[in-house]
Amino acid sequence: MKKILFPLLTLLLFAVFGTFVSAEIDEAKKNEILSTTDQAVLLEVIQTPGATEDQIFMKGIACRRLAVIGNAQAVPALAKMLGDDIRLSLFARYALEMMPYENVNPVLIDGAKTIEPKDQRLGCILSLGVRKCEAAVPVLKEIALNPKTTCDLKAAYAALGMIATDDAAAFLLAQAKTTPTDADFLVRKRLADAILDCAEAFEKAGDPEKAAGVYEAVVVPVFPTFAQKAGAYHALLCRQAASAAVLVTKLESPKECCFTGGLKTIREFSAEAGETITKTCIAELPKLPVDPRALVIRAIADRKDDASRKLAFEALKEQGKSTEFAIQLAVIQGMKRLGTLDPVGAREILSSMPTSQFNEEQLAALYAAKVNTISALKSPALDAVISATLPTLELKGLRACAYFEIVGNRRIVSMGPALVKAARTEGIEPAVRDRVLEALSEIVTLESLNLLVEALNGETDDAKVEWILRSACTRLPREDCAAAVVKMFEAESDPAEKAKLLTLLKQIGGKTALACVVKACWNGETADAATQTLGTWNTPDDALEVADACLKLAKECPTEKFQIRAIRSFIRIPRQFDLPKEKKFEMCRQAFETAKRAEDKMLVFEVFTRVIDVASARAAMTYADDPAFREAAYSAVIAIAKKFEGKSEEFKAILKKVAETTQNAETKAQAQAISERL
Amino acid sequence: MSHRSLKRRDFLKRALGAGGAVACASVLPGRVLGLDGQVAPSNKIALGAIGIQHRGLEDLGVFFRRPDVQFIAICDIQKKQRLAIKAMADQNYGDSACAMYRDMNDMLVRDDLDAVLIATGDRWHSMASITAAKYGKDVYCEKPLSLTIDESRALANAVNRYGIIYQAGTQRRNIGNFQLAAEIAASGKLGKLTEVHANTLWPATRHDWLPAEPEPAPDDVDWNLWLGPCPWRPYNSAYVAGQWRGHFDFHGGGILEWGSHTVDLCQWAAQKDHTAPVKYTPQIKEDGSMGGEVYAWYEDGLKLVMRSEGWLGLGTCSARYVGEEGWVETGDSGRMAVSSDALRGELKYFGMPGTSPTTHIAEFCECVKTRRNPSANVNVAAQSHIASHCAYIAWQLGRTVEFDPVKEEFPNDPDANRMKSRALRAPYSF
Repeated sequence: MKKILFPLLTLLLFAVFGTFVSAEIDEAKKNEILSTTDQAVLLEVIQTPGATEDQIFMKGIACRRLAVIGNAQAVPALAKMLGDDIRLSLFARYALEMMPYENVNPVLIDGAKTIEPKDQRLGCILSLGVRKCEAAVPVLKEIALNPKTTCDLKAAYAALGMIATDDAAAFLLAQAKTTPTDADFLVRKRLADAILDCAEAFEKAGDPEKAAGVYEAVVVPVFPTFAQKAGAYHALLCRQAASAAVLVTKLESPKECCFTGGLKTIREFSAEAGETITKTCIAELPKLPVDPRALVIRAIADRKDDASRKLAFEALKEQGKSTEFAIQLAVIQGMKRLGTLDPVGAREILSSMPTSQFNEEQLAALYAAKVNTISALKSPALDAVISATLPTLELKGLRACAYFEIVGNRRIVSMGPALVKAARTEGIEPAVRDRVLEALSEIVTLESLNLLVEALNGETDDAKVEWILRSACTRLPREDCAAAVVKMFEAESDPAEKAKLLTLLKQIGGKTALACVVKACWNGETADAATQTLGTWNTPDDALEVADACLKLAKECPTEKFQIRAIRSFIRIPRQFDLPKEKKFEMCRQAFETAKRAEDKMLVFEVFTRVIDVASARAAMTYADDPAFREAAYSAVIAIAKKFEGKSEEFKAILKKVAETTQNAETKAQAQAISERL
Repeated sequence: MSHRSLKRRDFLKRALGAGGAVACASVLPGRVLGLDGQVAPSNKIALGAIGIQHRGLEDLGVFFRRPDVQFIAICDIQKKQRLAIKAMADQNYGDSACAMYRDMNDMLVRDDLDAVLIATGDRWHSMASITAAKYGKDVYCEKPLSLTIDESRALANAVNRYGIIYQAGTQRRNIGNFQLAAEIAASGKLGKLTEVHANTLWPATRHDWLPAEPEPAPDDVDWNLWLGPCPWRPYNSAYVAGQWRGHFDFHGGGILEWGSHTVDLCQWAAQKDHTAPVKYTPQIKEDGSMGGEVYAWYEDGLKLVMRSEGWLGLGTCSARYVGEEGWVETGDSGRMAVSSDALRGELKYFGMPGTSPTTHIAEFCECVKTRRNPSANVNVAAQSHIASHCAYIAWQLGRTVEFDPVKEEFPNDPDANRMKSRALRAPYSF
């Protein structure tokens, strides 16, 4: 089938045609250009003299098409455009730059040498770079040595950098030596970038030593600091383990660019260099002031190779004895990455770190980091260690909060009874109790859900209660959890509380929850909240049951407000959910017949616009017999047609009928335009 | 133009004159140090922004609230936006120090600027990011980060070359439910992964111009700068107001629009951050018409489905990971769905919408200080963008294309290869 479809599908190269166009643009011509496979059509367009706006538009899309289908015969015509109006010159390059033909480079070289208008000339120079045209190197060197403008010089440097042959690199390096430090900043910046381009090319070609030399050529005062930093950074990485001594000088440097450049490399050296580099960094730690040391600690903890990780773990253990805040924080965060080596050991190191000298904010930061790290350490043995700590824990302060957060995050299920007991403890700090309840919500089982509910009794913060219940219900078996919440719903007398439980049931989803919500829709006290809940039900498995319930309500509910809400909710089902299209069309018909208000009936047309095929257009047209809905049906057909990408005689006939009978001029124009494409 | 004076530069000068190298390192600039939440002016990340409207305002609001960030400059081609953002910044800090620029080069050349937030239209994302990288500035850039395959690579090359910190605005990598879903997929709890599904939009772009309107004075709206590297077209105020979306010259299509998030999520969950699928097939319906879906396969056979329909209604930008023993799906609502009660036990309630950039920006700031690569770094983002671009190329061609993710080319497929790049308006180049 693909073979048959190919000619049709190639028409989709640049597919959708919008509705807003300048008045001058010939829509049919545009469509022809966008879809033609005949180069002659495109060449005729670009060779037509003139540069009015509509001509620029047409020539532009013709060039885009040539960029993909144009052959070598198109090159001379495009070459003529290179020196043309700047707006057209770009479109010529648009086509030429991606063409793989031999006759492209010579026209660009010629353009770089001879075109007078500056921007057109620069375009040729830059396209030679993009095409990595080695033959252009002599010309580009000449341009750089005798530039007509500073822009030419910058463009030539950029192109030479992209081409990155030995010859190009040697020229750029020579330029670096002769460029004065007070030369135009942007020229120096561009020259540095071009040299870095060459260095990267050598590195990619597998010659790191040669690359390192070129990188280092940028670390000279003539170039901006950020370029020097880049050169030094890559030179270090090129030389891998042999860079260890240089790395030390970077880490000890008072210059920001040196230190941060060195810091970034620590994570990026290869696994083979890892041991040497990590040892070097560890040896450096005692010499560094607190803050840089903290940064190096984090960096060595991020290394991925085993040898580095083992060394780093021991180093962090040692650093953990520090009484400096920044070091402690770095060690705790580093342990998150290294803790898999020895989770229990890591936890003990973290627990034994001195903390008494810190202020409240610092303590909060340290505890937050500890929660983060200990929660992530993977080891069942660690759970036992944590459980054993509870009896010694005072139920107050940051430590207790952090402790219960860890219990919840790690989901230590065996601690359920202990948490219930803790929550009931008299005198427990409110903040600690909150953490206990949150932890309980993470570990509670279906059997103990009632304990959580009981623990929440008397809690006045509704948002907190809702969060904790949702947290529990998110992970418990759906139907059983719903049954438990239904029980709570039935036992609840406060309508506001009942409404919250209905929302919770929607979050849980499933048959049990849905049955409860549907039942509540028919109860005067809960109907408002329940119909709203039903209208936003989002479990696809329940879609048809929800639809049935909505339709029944729309037909039989005694309250008009809820009838309207129900029919709109019903239409949402075929619009939003993935159902067979025939089912969707049938539901549209039911909705149309049941809805009492025109604005509700109109909603069915949106369903059609989301099913992009002929059947959908056909179904929409069945509503066109009624004059009140004819134009809406036609709009839906147009919307479908805009996205329809095949060929269809039936669709064409439908659009013809729309064009013939619509009262709307825009609809008529669109139907005719799209019809030509089908 | 007033430049906020950041004390850290003064400290540096003093330090440099003081002698002993190691001793001097203790006065390294604040953004390198000070991770304790107590931030002196000298310890703040000096931030600028380029092209702030819509989503950019949400990002900027988060930066404003951070004590470790000092917003010092706005660059915008629209005068009214420059003034509006300056007014917000000045109100936030209680001074009038925020500087305004029309051309980003004038702002980026400032020595006292550490990082930039880029939230222009898509056409400028890579060019602005590359320009910032080439001034050594760290970058937080909204997605999609590129319009073509070659642009994605050029961006990654520039960021890596200058060793800057780059965070793509694919914030779902720092949102709990998306993290947990990826963790479940990677943990093996779904069995061997067979399919990953990315929520995308209708792929097409449009080829037309809005009706010409008189061009405003450059100081009010610099239309030439607005177009930047894109082809010329006549001015229309609607583009500037945001209606550039969907136009081929300025937009990468509906797969990229959301795929920059969701294909990224799928690559992450499948641990394919380093690569891209090797084969892409667009959906062709029974009647021969094009559907909006594209199917792709990685080298190991894992299937990536890019589709707009059939989601569970868990919110925009949904992703679904399917293994031999189960599946998990999640979206911007924060909620998650799984195939069994056993997997349900793995879930957690997060309650944070997937659109919030707060935690993602926090990670960026932390990385600016520590020089660690962030989760949405340029290398992973470039790969997921390249996958999205490949899918759109297949869709435009209406046929299967094969892709070599190492060479980043379509073997023996000149038509597809010629769609990897677009020429830039001079004097722009990557």
